Amino acid sequence: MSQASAAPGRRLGNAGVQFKKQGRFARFMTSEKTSGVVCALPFIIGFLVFLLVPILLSFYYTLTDYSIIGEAEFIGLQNYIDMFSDDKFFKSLGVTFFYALVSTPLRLVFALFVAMLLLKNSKVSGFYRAAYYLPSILGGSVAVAILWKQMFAADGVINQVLGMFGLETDFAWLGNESTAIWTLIILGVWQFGSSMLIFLASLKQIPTELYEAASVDGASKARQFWKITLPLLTPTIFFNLVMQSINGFLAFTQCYIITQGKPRNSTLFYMVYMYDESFTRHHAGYGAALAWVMLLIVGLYTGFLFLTKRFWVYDEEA
Amino acid sequence: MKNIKKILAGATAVATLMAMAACGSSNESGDASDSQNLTIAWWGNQDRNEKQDAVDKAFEAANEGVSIDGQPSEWSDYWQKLSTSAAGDSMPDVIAMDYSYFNEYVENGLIIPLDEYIEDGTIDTTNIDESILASGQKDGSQYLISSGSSSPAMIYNKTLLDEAGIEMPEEMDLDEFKALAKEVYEKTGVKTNFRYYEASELLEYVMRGEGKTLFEDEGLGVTAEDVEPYFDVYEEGISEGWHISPEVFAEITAGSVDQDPVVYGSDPSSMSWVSFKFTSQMPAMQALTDDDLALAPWPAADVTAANYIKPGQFWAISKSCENPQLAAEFINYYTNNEEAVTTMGTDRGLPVSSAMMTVLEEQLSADEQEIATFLNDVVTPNSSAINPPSPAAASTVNSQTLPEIEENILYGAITAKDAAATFVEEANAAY
Repeated sequence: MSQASAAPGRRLGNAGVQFKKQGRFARFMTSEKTSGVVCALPFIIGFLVFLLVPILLSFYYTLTDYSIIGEAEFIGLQNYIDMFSDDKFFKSLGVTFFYALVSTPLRLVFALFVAMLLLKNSKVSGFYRAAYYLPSILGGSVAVAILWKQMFAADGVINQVLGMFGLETDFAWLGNESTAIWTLIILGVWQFGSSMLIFLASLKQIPTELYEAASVDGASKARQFWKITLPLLTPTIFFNLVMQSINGFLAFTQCYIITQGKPRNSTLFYMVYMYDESFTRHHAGYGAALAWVMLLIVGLYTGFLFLTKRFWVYDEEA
Repeated sequence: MKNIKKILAGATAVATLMAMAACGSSNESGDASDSQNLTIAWWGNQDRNEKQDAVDKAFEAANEGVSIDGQPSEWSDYWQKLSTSAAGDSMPDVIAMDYSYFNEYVENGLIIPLDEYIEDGTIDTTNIDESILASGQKDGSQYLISSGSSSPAMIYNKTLLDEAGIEMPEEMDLDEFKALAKEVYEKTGVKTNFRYYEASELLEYVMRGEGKTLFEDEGLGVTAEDVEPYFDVYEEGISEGWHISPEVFAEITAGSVDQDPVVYGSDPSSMSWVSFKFTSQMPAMQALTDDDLALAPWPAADVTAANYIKPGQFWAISKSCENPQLAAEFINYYTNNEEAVTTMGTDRGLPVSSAMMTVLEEQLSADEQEIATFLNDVVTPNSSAINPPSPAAASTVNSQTLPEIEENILYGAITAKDAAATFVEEANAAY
């Protein structure tokens, strides 16, 4: 249709005249508003069909006893009530909080440390930046999870390296309640790449005049770090803290592949518990309710972080 | 403005093209509804997957235009994948089914009755024993065709026991088993795995030996006192040192044949002399070790009352299947074709068709002969009818309640007495 209307326009050689002749529909179709909507349509449709519908549907399922392979029956708030008497729910929540709240700060400190090291421009710094970013691409993968499992086995690399230093041991890192979670935390910290890149970018934003002025005044490197670098980085730290904490709460692969919650549920991540409830034990309604509770928790936690923002985050406009 | 027009013109053209393409493909999928593609899903190990692939290829060769897509998984992943695909109505056409999930899948209408294909002769059941057929029936309809008979069996390392001069008794109860496990540990350093972190068949078996049914329709048929001796094995095993430490299991996938402590592990302390499996898992395990493995019945107070012939695994046709006729032909091929039967050997158990059993008997390998002899001479004369298929609650007990309680005992967190009480309470709550 639009081809037909375009052809006479070209023949007349006068777009203005042709434009006036267009009917209401053609005008509507060629308005900027319409084309904006048309261009955004793929995303809008994708959002509605693949996100909004499943999200609403999953909320409906929280009110049912949906078993995945059977029909869903409405049971009201029973799933949410059941949670209060579910020890495993509290256990997995505790494990997940511990993991997120320990691994996130460690990861950020590590990311900042490496970013500072890589700040200097030299011929090889590009290579190092790429090399240190690599773990955050690989770290969440199944292959690395399996590798991690092998490394921390009783006869794995970690124990062999310890043996070289005279610490002969066949300690089962993954089989011991007090150490298993730490192997997952170390894997989490190792995935510092994306935070590191963001730190690197904002470190470069800090005006060099500040440092020059500070050196002239005789401030030591350490003092410059505490008084200039860190305060100016707080917006970035805040951003990384929010994003990485959410990642921590939603961690899945490490636990699912490496420990499967063993030993004695000491490494049972909330997401893995939700997955098991939904797909192994066919309590998909309960699983959906667990997901919504996690959404609430992440929302509250993020809200809390935003409330604390004005106490410690540097705001240029203020 | 001109640019926007161009974009719109382009968008229209693309939309038209897509619509045309969609028409084209819908024509094609019109053909596909009676197309010759078949998706077949099963659980298994490397050994079985290779054999099944060979059978699939032979079926393709025998039926021109047919193409089979085989989808093997590990046991636990298999059921997760299957339930997810059931929710999306995209199940594979032919699926392997287990006795413990039969009820759940039939009740939700996820597998279709095979009666019409049996009546019109597509699936030939004339040589299949009535009792085997009955195990795949529900409410008067045939839903499942067994893909082989097996029975519970201890698969034990005969080489190890012979070298240590230990005699394996023909039958034993739990106390005799514990004494034997202790003796093996003292003489060889090799430990024991009492079906740790796997499904509840062993507990069910021990209960059968006491004349009790573990899973009844409305709740457990046993009390805490009944199940305590079972949990006692773990408590004594770990305190006396002959049960494998739970730490070892943190590094392997429990229940996986490929990583079973009988064939996997580098040190006697992480290895077991025995695994509580089914006869059908023997060839796969034997393929993984140079030691000679052998079979013995699981221990129970009364082995004859406890032991049973299990119509191993089953084939079923899912409700998502677009060409059930072809699927039925495949099941018939698997059950009644000489090439298929000899290719699979005893991998899923002995063939259910008596005619095929005769064919197979002539070419059994030594290991397979051992399984056939065990099933025919040891189990069949000394066994009782299998329990009815478990209720849906069993999947929670099998995947969570029982393994976690066993774990708690081995880590020394609870006693066998507490474990028994917790088990009965939690298993009943799962109903």
